[in-house]
Amino acid sequence: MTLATRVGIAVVLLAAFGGAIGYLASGAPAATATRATRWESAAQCQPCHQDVFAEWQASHHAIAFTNPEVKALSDDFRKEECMDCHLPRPLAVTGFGKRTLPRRTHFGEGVSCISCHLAPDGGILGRNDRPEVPCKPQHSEAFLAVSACESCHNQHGTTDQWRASHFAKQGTDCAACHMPEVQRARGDKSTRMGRGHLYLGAHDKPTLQKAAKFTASREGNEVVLSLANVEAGHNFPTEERHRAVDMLYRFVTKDGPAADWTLAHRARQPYRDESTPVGPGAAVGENTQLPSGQTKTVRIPIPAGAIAVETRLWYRLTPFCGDDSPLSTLLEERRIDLP
Amino acid sequence: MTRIAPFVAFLCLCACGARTPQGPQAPALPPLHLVSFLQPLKDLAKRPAVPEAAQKEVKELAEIALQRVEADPRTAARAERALLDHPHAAFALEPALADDKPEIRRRAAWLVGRTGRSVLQIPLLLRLKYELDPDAVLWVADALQHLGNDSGLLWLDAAMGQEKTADQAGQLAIAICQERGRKVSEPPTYAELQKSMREFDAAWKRTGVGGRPGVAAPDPVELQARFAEHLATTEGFQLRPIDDARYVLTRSGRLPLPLLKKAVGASEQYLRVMALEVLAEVGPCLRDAGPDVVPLLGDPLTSAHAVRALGEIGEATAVPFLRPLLASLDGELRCAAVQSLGLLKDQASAGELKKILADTGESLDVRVGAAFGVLCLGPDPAAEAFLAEREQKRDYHEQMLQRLREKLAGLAGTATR
Repeated sequence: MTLATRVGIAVVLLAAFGGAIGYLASGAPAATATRATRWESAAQCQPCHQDVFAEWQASHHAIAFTNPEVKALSDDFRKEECMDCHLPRPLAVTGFGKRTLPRRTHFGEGVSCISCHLAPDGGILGRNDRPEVPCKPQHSEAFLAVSACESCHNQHGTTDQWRASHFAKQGTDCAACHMPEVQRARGDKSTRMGRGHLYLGAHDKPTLQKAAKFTASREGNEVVLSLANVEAGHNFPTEERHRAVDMLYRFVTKDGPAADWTLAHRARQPYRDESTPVGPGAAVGENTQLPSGQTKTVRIPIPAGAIAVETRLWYRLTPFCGDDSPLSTLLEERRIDLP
Repeated sequence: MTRIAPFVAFLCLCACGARTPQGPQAPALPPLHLVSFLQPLKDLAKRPAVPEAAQKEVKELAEIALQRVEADPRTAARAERALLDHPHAAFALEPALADDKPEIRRRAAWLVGRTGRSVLQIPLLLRLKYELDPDAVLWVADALQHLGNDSGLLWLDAAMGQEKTADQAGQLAIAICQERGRKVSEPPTYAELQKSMREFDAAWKRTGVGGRPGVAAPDPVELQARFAEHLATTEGFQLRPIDDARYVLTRSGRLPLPLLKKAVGASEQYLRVMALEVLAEVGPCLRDAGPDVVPLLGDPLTSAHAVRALGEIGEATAVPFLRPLLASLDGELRCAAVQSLGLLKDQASAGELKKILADTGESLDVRVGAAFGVLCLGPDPAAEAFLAEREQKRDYHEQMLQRLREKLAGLAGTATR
């Protein structure tokens, strides 16, 4: 073997050795490393939680940022403060019960799974510790408390109203009514109890009907209309100032209705700069929303010739819409004959 | 053997190579010291009460000057002069800006503009936000520019395009051009007046300083008090006052800079966020706040806002801190970082941004932001095609996409100039 050959072999061996050292020193190949799951989108939750996902998708939380009503009221979110709640960053990250912060991602998801379930450490919050399932939820008391809703739903005082109500004293929280217990199927065909994710409220007629009791009766020469907030753990209506509940009536003579529908009472919180009262009997600027457990009664003298009175209770998403608007929901209708 | 030793050593070194880079390492961030700023802000917002005698005096003068009561021309002129010279004129004029009658509001705006007290641009800005009378808007816009704030000039531009307001807006625009030494043809065309208004507006946005010569600087104590009053409203949950605060702070040019620099170091997150959002909205003329913002990159709550603000104000020294955020686990941060690195013209990040753009496993938000970032750095067919695809498929938030497009068009315009 010549010197040149020996040198050549030595060089090749040294290069191979060096290369191996270098390869090992540079770390394992990227292909074998698993990237930690970043929980960022509700779509990631869908495969395992299809029923919950479907409920959420049908809810107003899902369309919080895309709802045409909200877009109109927020001037298409040019009022950027509206984004804080309609496109919030995860509430546990910014602090349950504290002011939310807006995100600039996942615009189509509004208030999503991530908004409520993402933990500050990037994990998932839930009712129970479940280390055996892929998202490994961790039990969190704060996540289950009213403060989880408060960051957004106290914008208009709803959770403060709840705190002042007997619902708070008896421990009936937001979820009890708006996220009732439902049966969920497990993958192994067994079932478990979970929470509904439809958040039924102002857009659901049965929920609205359950909240208040509307009665009409005759007392002497008067018709007495009464609205009692029996089941809402907050004002009725609550939240935005444009939500309104109207009690209307019209007397009927033997020739038919004596007049158009007349507003007996409107329950609503006025805008700050409204220069007229929200309804009959209210002062300018007066909030006539009906607090939990309270009753509003209106007495109307019966005119001569009236043979009956018809009464209606309407819920309106805005006070500026008429009876035939899809934004108005007829909750109750009564007729009392006046012999 | 000795002859080949250096060669062998060289080969060994080449074969071993340097350790493969694992992504950019963040340099140490400046320390984050957050201190409570709400109470100091509330203290700053306190303004001395107007003495009762002065209240009565200015109210009487204002009744005449606002033409609420009739007076002979000589008395009216004297009352007007006395009111404009009165140190407490604002006590009567500010409420008049929101009077029920549009003619009173117009007159009040005109008078406020002539007081020469540039701090009164703050209530005028709020009037600009809420004014619905098309004529009154013109007078508010004109009064604003009289006091060194050019935020209303685009209103004049728009009003010249409306038949009902074109004449009045045109007259005001001619006066503005003359005051600023802008030559216009005789008689001027609406087109050239509108162009002038847009150019003045662009200069205002670029510099944060009004173009009208000879405007006195606002009283710093009162200015700070008024800004502080607005900024402190962010403590609450009521959205309208917060929206008012944002409106005023984003339309006051460089004036709020000292307060914003303090607010970014507030331990109250809502104060930090508002300050950062204002910086991001106003942009490069508030660049001096950059060093105050950089430490917030270490604040988990507001770092995404900080990244956005640093990009928008053009704080190039932040680039080494932003590069590592491209690999952050937080999608908000990645989304903000891809855009800001583009805005900061960080050519060294071009490859990484393109890689993110092409990563189908990455979220759409971050990829759209990466396309924007890449296009900030220069023409790129892949990034352009990606944005065009979003527009065609309408699978991304349209307003955001439009905003990015407008921003890119603005950057292209700046580059051309």
